[in-house]
Amino acid sequence: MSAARSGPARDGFALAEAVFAIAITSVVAATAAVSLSGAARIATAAAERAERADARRTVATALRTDVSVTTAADVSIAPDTIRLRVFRGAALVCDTADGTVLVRYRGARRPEPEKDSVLAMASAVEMASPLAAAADASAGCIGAAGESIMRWTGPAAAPGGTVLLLFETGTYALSARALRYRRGGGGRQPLTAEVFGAGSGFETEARALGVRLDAALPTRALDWPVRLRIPLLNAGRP
Amino acid sequence: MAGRREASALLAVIVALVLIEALVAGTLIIVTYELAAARAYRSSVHARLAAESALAATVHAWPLADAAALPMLGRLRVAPDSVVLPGTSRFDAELERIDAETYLLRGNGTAAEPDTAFAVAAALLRTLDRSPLRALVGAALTAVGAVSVEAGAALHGEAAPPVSLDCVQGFPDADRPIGAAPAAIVADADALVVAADADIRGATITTPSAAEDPFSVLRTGLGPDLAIRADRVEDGAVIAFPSATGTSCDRDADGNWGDPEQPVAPCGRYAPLIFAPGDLTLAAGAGQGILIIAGDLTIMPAARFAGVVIVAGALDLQAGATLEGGVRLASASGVSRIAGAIEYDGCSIARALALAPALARPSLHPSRPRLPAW
Repeated sequence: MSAARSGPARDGFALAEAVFAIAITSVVAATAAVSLSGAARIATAAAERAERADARRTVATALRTDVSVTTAADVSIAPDTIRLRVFRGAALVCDTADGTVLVRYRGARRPEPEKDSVLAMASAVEMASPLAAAADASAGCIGAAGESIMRWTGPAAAPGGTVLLLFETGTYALSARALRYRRGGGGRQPLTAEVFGAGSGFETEARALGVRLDAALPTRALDWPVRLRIPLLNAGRP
Repeated sequence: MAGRREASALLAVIVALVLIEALVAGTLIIVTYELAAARAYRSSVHARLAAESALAATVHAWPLADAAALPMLGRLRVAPDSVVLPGTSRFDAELERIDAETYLLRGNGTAAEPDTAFAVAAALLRTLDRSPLRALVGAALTAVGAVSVEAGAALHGEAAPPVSLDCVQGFPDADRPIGAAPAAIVADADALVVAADADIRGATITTPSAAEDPFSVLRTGLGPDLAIRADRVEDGAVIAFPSATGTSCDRDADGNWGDPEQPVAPCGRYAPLIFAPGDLTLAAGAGQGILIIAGDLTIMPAARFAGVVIVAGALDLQAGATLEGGVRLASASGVSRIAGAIEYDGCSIARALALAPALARPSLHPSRPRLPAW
């Protein structure tokens, strides 16, 4: 009798227990799902924000490095591209002989005649010419620390002390959601992740380059959209 | 059954905790990366500002004699000590002469905190070509408008000076005028009225070039705002007298316009560029240098000035007053009155042009004053 009573009672308890367990598990699972979903959303947002910050920093660094050493005459600004002389080094003429100039050179990299040109600063006139050849030299000029003695072919004969600026022609573009750089007639190489929106671009400001950076994806970050102002060299006070 | 339920709940919690920890770790990594980037950026800005400061400090405290003595492509290490940068930022500069009047200045800046950073900046500087200024005073008096040289006044040109004359020791290329100088150069001969007993020595030349505006030459060479470039800005009435402390000329003292009487005295080599934006009266005393007056200039009896005088308005040189050097009057209207003495003196002109601190400071190269630097 007691066994007969106890059987159904145990079953009913097991059912209630199961329902309760399922309910608890559902609550736990729902809570976990919500938490994980929120965490994943935050993680995604944080990653996007970090990626945008990194891209913005890359834009600022790259353009400040190259644009801030150009004059207005060195740069042409369009809404989505800027074409400019990207300076890679500077040299002082020590001597001129046989159509070559002996120089003391210091720069970001060694001269590469296949892509470099030279801007000669003779008094108030600047004259650009291709660099046909560049070879190391060992004598005829005393360089300072960090300078290389080289013999360049291409620049017109120039008196000792003439400043020669080595440059390549480059184009920066804000296209296909990234900042891209193209050297000469080459292809555009992305410098940043594809995070910029259609509102991004360049504009001419008073003695400066203006850069608008819009986020490709909607963001509630207060520091977007971004506006950068990069003064051109010699545009302000000395 | 219960054991399985506890295990699955535990598993869910562990998974959740692992995910949350991964999220926290990722955020920390991002934050650490951003902080490192911010530190590096901050240091790079400090270093860049230090390099810029090196340029500015060197130009401000231009090493006049050392720069002038540099041979072609000669280099000079400059450590401006007039400016102390905050924090761990440090700077120095290197000056190189690349032609007679042009210098390449390279500033180096470093920052040690929060990260180590190094930056360079370069500028192309030119010292002033003084020959256009010298050409403004080719006679004792150069005038475009009406001038009355009164009885008892003196207007003396100069015979050709000896070639070996060294006017400004230490300045081998000082712009000493060569050759004879006339008493007067005027745009209109009828505008120069000379009393019968005035003492005129030398020729009077009439040429349209006397009508050219000297202030356009000044502004081309010295910049649009002469008050900024000038060593002294004066107005009202001034009594000029040298002021020295021991062997040091007190250049900031009121009325110190140098010492033309004693070239070896502490202020003997101080010949300031003095600009008056309005009218000015030299009431008494003596001074030397370059005097540029935007209004009228009155020089009272017993006052003396040696050097270059350029006046936009009228000149009233009273009896007993003396000007040595060259005078340029730019006004076509009004009448200047000369009752004192104007004596052309090539050496006074050369000394003023060579010694004026305002002319010695370099200016930025006109086409590309700042250069990219590595």
